[in-house]
Amino acid sequence: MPVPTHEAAAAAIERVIRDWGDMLARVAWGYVASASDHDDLMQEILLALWRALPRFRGESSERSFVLRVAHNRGITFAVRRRRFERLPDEGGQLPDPAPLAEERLIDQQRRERLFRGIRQLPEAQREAVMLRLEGLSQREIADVQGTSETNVGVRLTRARQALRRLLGEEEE
Amino acid sequence: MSDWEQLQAEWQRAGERAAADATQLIAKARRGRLVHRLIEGAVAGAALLITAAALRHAGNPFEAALGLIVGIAIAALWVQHGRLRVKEDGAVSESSLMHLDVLASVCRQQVRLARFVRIVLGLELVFLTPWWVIGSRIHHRTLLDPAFWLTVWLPAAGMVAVFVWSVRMRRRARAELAAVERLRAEFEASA
Repeated sequence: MPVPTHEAAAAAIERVIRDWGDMLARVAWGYVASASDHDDLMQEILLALWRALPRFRGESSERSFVLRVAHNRGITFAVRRRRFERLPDEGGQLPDPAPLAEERLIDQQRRERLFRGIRQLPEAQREAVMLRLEGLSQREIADVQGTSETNVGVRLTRARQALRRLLGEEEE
Repeated sequence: MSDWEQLQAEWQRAGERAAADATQLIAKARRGRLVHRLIEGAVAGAALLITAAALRHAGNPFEAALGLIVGIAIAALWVQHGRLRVKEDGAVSESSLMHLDVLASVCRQQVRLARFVRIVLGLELVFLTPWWVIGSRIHHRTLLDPAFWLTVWLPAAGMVAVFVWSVRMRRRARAELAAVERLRAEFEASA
């Protein structure tokens, strides 16, 4: 007996959240800066996945499919809420986040800087970087973005340069 | 450790559980969407009912034809609005470039839809005005009669609300179109 569509969708979304929930939360932070916007975007991503998963036919890996839906929703959300941040002028660096008293929060500050840096990249570079950081190959990123591997390579190189500048090259 | 590996390690550490109540979040989003659609359906249904009520009192074939056109146009607006939403939802699993193409197309259609809404409102006004004037005279209604409220003030307020909605939709769609076209140019730019 076939499983009713809504039950199949519910089972599929539960599995996706279990397998890729952390990844979805990271993607959302790449588009928004506040916790309330993050919650709103997560809600939209999950709803979009709930509706899109029954259409998934295995043409790509499930991770690519989930990332594609999440990034497209992120873009739509940013367009609707006019949340695209601007890249600072050449040579500009991100200001240090507000100092936090606890040493254990240093890691969190560094991650917040990384997210802020990523949010300031041009959209095509931002998406490529986030997909790369999730471990997708250049081929997979090209599929998600609808472009060539060469373009992806250039975007990643430029994004890395911009991030290096934005993050102030702390390591060097 | 390369740049990418360092960044990746930093990025992966940022993982936090997606809301444990994700199922509730989805249910909440679905409820919100359902309420939204019910409101849209109620507005369209009310507009059709008012038009049908006025159509029953059409004084001549011209008025009857106008009423029919207005009724069909209202139904078409409602259907087209729903189709745009379905189109946008369907594109969410496409590539970024394709998704942006669809978003741009939806924005353009929303701008046209807003223009069509104004035309329909104009026709509706032309169609309803004789019904309002003649009906009020025949039934000797004053401006504050409950029946006058129901047949004149309420539809008029609804028309004003729909007009305001169309203005806002057009403004929003144009702003979004500008943003989407900028993004498309960025995604289309070859290395």
